[in-house]
Amino acid sequence: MIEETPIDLGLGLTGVLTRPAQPTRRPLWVLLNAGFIPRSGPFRMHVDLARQLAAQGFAVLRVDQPGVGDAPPKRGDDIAVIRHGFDRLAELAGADRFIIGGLCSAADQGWKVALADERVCGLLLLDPYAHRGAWFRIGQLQLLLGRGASALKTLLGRFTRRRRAPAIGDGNMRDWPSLAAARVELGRLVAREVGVFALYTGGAAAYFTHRAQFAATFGAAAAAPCVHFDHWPDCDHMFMRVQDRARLLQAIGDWGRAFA
Amino acid sequence: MTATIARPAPERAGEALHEFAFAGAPERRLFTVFRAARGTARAALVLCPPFFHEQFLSYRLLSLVAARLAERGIASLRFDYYGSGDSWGDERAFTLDGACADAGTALAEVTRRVPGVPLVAFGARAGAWPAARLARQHRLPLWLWQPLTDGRAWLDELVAMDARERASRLRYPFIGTQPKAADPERLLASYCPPALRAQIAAERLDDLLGDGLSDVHVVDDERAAPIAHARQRLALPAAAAGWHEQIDLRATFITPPVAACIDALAQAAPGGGTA
Repeated sequence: MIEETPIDLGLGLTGVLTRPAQPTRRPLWVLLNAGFIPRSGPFRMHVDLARQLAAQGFAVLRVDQPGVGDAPPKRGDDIAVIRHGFDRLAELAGADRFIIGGLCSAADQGWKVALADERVCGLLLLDPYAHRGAWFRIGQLQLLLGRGASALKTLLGRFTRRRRAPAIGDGNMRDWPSLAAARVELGRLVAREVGVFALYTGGAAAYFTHRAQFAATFGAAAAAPCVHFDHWPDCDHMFMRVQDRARLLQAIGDWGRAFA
Repeated sequence: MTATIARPAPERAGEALHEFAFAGAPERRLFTVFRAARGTARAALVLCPPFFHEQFLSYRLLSLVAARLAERGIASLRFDYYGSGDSWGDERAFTLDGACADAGTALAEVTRRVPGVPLVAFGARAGAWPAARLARQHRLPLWLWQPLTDGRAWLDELVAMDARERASRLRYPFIGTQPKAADPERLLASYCPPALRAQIAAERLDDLLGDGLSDVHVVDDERAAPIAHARQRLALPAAAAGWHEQIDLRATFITPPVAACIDALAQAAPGGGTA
């Protein structure tokens, strides 16, 4: 039977550790809160994922970073806080390798932690960074054409509307590397053989609309065997539909077998 | 029974902080967050959270409410209903009767943690329903935060919101020309089968308040109709009350008008001067 233990890792990092029935030396998963949603995840996605992975023999921490859920306000360097959390998990749970990440800002944060800490051997990226570029425009066009007659109105509106100030989007709200840096950084992760699971949903259509964007963003490293990429345009950013959450859990579970 | 407690990390020892724990029977373990009062507690409350997606939308807000009350001498125990949040149980195990039973478990847990202190039942949104039952059963003061007065009306709102989200091109940009199909067992991603919908539709806060509850304090949207049985009504500005109106969560802060409502509730607690 799996066991769950509340855990305080210090520096404002608090969460719930799910452990498998048998002690394990496998990497420990750290699911970071997605945006402002607390550790249980959107519609309990992290709870279900943690329990599924525990049934597969992994320990999983779902955690609130400072300023979210029950955690105290943010005080300093988030990456240092998470690395300190790794140290505590090493003491408390004997973990020496980690799979980190999550949805949206959690993917961004996981990316930075993975670069900073060699104990990270796996990176879970749900709607992470991508460069827009030409493929994005092609994807946008396909998307509009798929909308039938209403697309014409949208396109006409674009040409006839007065130019407005650009809306605040992911590029402004999220802590993303530059295109050049992202390529170098994925190259570094691949050189370390960090397993990467990168999934873009339809909810990321403000910056990701076409499968070819992934390779166009990350270059040669995107094709490395340790990088798993997919695009689910029918799925929303929060995995609202139960079918989408089930599909996600299945995909992550399958990917996780490589760490068993 | 308390299964496990998160010990504060060494650098936080001595601070008046919260403790996570699992409480309740082994076959129905509830995730709880106990927040000790600063100094000696003059009251302790059990906070029944909203249902479904409103649980995670309200989580930070209610954590901050509990933290502010703790600074004013009021301990609290927050919990997740069985089958919701971080508690055990599949989402299909969530029922209205179960939520009420879980509120009782939480009351026993807070009594164990701060014995001999006056207790308060606190319910937010749909959590008003189990909280009101708890208050009636144990003759407790009742605090309500944006309570749902009419289950049928709320259900209608959820059905409309569900339809909007399924047809939303912001949520599903690749949706084409047809909305996503409705799921008769779900509302806005949460499991809500016909039997649970029928139970929710039958809930009316007026029926739960009525005789026997004389000490009811309500924090509510300034636009909401007053609740007949409330002894005190505190108005939240619309900007602070609209957090449940959309499913995408924004940053949560305790703004001065919200802080004033919390402080007024604290004043109403035993030993606060206006009780």
